[in-house]
Amino acid sequence: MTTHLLEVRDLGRQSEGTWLLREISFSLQTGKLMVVMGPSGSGKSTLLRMLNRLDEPSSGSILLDGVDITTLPPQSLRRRVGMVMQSPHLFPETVADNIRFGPLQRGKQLSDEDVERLLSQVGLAGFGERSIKKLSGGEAARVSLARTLANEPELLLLDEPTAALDEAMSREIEALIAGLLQENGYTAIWITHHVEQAKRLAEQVLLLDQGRCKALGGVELLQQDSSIHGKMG
Amino acid sequence: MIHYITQDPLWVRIFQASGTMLLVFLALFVAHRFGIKLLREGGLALLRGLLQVVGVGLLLVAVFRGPSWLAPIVLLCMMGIGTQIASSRVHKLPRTRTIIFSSILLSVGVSLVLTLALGIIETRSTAMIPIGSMMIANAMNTISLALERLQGEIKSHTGQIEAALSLGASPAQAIAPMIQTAVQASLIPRIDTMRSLGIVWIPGLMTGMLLGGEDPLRSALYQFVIVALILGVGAFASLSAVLMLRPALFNQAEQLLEN
Repeated sequence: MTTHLLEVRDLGRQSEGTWLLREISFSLQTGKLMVVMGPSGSGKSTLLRMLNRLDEPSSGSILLDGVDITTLPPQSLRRRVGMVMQSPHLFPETVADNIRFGPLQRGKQLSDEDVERLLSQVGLAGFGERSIKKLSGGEAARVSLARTLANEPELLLLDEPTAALDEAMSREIEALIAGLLQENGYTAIWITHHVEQAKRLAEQVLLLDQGRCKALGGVELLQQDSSIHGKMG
Repeated sequence: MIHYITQDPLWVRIFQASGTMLLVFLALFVAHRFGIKLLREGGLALLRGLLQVVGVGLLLVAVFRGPSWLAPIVLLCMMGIGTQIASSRVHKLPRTRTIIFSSILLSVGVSLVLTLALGIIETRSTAMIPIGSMMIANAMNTISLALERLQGEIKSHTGQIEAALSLGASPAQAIAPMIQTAVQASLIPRIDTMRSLGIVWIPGLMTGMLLGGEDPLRSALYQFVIVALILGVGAFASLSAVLMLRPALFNQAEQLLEN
């Protein structure tokens, strides 16, 4: 029997009289990776922000493991639904401070070994005491990922985690995240602009256009819909 | 030079005020030539200040001669006007008027009651009103600085606040660094005042006491009491304002509201 970790029903968000996203429905099985694609302003980030409850839906519902997320305490929900933002937005001072931040909010102090293990996962072993000011873009992106993973989320939301990186670094981080998702069996939603990246990653695809669902299906959608190639860049 | 023209003390003061205003206008005009557009705002503030202080002088004559219960009413009015001025600087933040008034009332009220009870300040109107007004003005400035800084910090660190929320932090935890920065920044001028007291400047109250023939040591100690009080009131006012504002920056779902 397949279990759906996430179910989204008729989800919509309106802001200042404009629908940013409307009538979005999909479900995501545990352990699967869904790629969300769409042109700028199509509502991709809005969708992730609602799943993490940084924004409130104007219509519809989101069920996490069968439970409406509005009935869950926001802090507990956000720990379970981890989000890696487009920009790392690291906190001062050290890398280790960032890794410890999430667990510390619920009174859990990560040991030095825990921090090192998480940093090793993202290829930054020995970086714990380094100041965040001395990190490159790629290193900051890795710290941001490790910081989210420290909360042991059930669902991982990745908002264009490689968008700010150059091509080579982007491929490196993509391979790293994809490997981690596969090894740990994470359920994840990954926003990307790159069709080729989507093809490499996706098990399930949601195409958005002007805030609406244009198509929902398997990776074959990316092969069929030739208009995607022109629109996503 | 003024004394050659008139010996009337009131006219002497009017000449002094006019001379000072000319000096300020000259400074504002020079600044204007360098593209610093303060001529209108600065000029209006100067005229407003003159009219207000003369008005208050006339009012105080009546208050000092009247019953003692008039003093708290005058102070409450000053708090109301202080609230209006401070809130105009941070009008985009929610519930600012209520928060600023409550913070001034709380910080000045508690400090006044304590200092009156301990006998640090005398209960007569001639002591309570000028010292109370200094507390109110400084509370107003400190709150204004704190809220303005907090507004700026939130704007420039929205991503960091939301990153903290997305990791399961409570609103209070997510915004704690911005609150600390805002309160610290608001108190820097007060701390600098305390550090430079007597060395860089001799404040108005002490100057007035010295000119009035008071003993320098007693004047100095009294001035210290007032500056220390102002620092204490400022710290209390600034902290209470940002803490009162904090819940209004987030909604029930612990989402950061746009400000």
